[in-house]
Amino acid sequence: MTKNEIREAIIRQLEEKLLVFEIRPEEVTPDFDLVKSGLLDSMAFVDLIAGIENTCGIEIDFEEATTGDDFTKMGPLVELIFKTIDEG
Amino acid sequence: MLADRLQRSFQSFAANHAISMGKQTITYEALNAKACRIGNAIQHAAPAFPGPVAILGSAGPETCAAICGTLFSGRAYMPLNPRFPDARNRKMLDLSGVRTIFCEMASLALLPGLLSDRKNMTIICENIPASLPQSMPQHRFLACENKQEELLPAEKPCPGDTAYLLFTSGSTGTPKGVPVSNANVTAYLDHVLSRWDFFEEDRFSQTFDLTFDLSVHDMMVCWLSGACLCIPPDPSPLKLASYIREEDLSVWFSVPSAAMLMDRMRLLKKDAFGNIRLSFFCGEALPVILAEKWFEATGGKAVINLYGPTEATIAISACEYGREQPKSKNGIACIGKIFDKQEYCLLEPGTMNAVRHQGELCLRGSQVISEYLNDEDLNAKYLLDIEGTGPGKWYRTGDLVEEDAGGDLFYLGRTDAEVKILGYRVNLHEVDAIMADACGTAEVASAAAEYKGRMLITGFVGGGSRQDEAAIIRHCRKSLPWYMIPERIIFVEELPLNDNGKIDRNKLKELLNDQK
Repeated sequence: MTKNEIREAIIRQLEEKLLVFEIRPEEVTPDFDLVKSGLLDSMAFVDLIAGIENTCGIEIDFEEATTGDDFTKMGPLVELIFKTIDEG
Repeated sequence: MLADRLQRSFQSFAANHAISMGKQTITYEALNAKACRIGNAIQHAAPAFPGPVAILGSAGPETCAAICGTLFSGRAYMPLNPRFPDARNRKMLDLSGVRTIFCEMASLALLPGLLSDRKNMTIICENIPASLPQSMPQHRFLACENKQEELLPAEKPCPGDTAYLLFTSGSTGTPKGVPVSNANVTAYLDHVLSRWDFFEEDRFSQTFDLTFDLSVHDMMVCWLSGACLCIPPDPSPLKLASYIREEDLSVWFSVPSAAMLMDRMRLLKKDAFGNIRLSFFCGEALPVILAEKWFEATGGKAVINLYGPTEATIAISACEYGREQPKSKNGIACIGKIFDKQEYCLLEPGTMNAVRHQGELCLRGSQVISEYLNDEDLNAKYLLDIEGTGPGKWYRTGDLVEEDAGGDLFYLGRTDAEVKILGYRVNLHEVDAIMADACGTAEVASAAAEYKGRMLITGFVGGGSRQDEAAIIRHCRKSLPWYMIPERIIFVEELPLNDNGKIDRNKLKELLNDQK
């Protein structure tokens, strides 16, 4: 999976939410914070990751993720998933 | 009184850390000085007005000092939530008649929007940015930075006077004001402080919004013990595990949902939080599997499941788990026995008939409020005399419980349209009222169902026509706190009714299950 494909997979899962918040997919830049923006609560964010884990057959290391960069931002999230697939 | 006890504690433990927040620490002495400055500002602002003082802000040194300072000035505090929409906070201002607001510096930007529709409010903050009074000339600003630190003599509250005023979701579309008195809080604190040991070396968690009454437990139990209240600098629940380790917490208190989130992130490993020696959970049903996982994660330390509505002050029953298999029913941990000195009885739901074994829980005693804020209808509906039980009102909780032979209680569910979301009480009628507004039809109803361990609200709109789903949800976001907003809207021909012609929410839930 390329980083772009990961990004698209995330956006697909967020489709309905983006509609409610009147956010266009192209506005979800690498700096866009999925949780702090109010788009997702923390449980929904973990659901989103669980969905991607299932699709990609990976397991995110939350221990590392939550101490490092702000992984609720789109850019770092894509990086984290890309890195996990790569190492898997 | 609460203020006296806090002041004594602030003096006894002067050099201890009262608050830790990231890299910042504050001693009891410094917290006391801050609180006195704010208390004096409140007395300057409204010497003759004994009503509550609103506090706008997230948990932090400023708001903690404001809470103490408000109590020191002999008044009650009423938290406003910076994460609530303006409409919600305004409703609380309207219902309480508050004229004085303390605002943390980080939330000052919310004031123009919040107060645009009223005038002559007094706003107290640490220091006043020059531009703010100009943009809000109809209000008065008061800085507390230069006020003297010696507390001005304040009117002493009576035991029946309110210590804090909170609002919970109401059935009519208006939140219910719950004034909790000094006597109510001290009764709770006396019980908790005598039942469990807390030490000045302890490091307490602080995971609740100030609008949630469980936050009172964290602050007051901690400060009356001379311990340190550790406030997460990043309130995101996703960061709780690293917060526990960085702050080296020894006493934990959260809603079960917070532990559930950590579990879903695979962070509840054996001995992961070995320094926590005492854990409390409250606010929603505690799955026994989760209690066991938490027990393992803390290296086998006590896990206490608390139960109690805001009207009965923080919590009024407890069940403690040690090594033995905890009691449970339908996978939900037992809520234990009602505290000593508090009374309970069971009523057949919808009637005044006393029953045994299983029924609607009613509570009476020093922890139970004597009335709702300015609302005779609520008083008549929920605070009742029960024949043959002597004088004194009972609070009818709406919680269905079962009692076993040993007097232990088990939570079974609700008798009304209230649900718990992340520990917050949500009356679905209140969601309905806002949806009706958005849709222009009264043919609306909401239901809550669990989905992947998360309670989600779904709105239903009858009448067969399809409307703009996103627009309805957006409308709800303008009036309701985040935890009350429907996740999605389903359009149906007709809403299901029960035999009494009322909305059948169980049928709605079945509709939801069919859709999964």
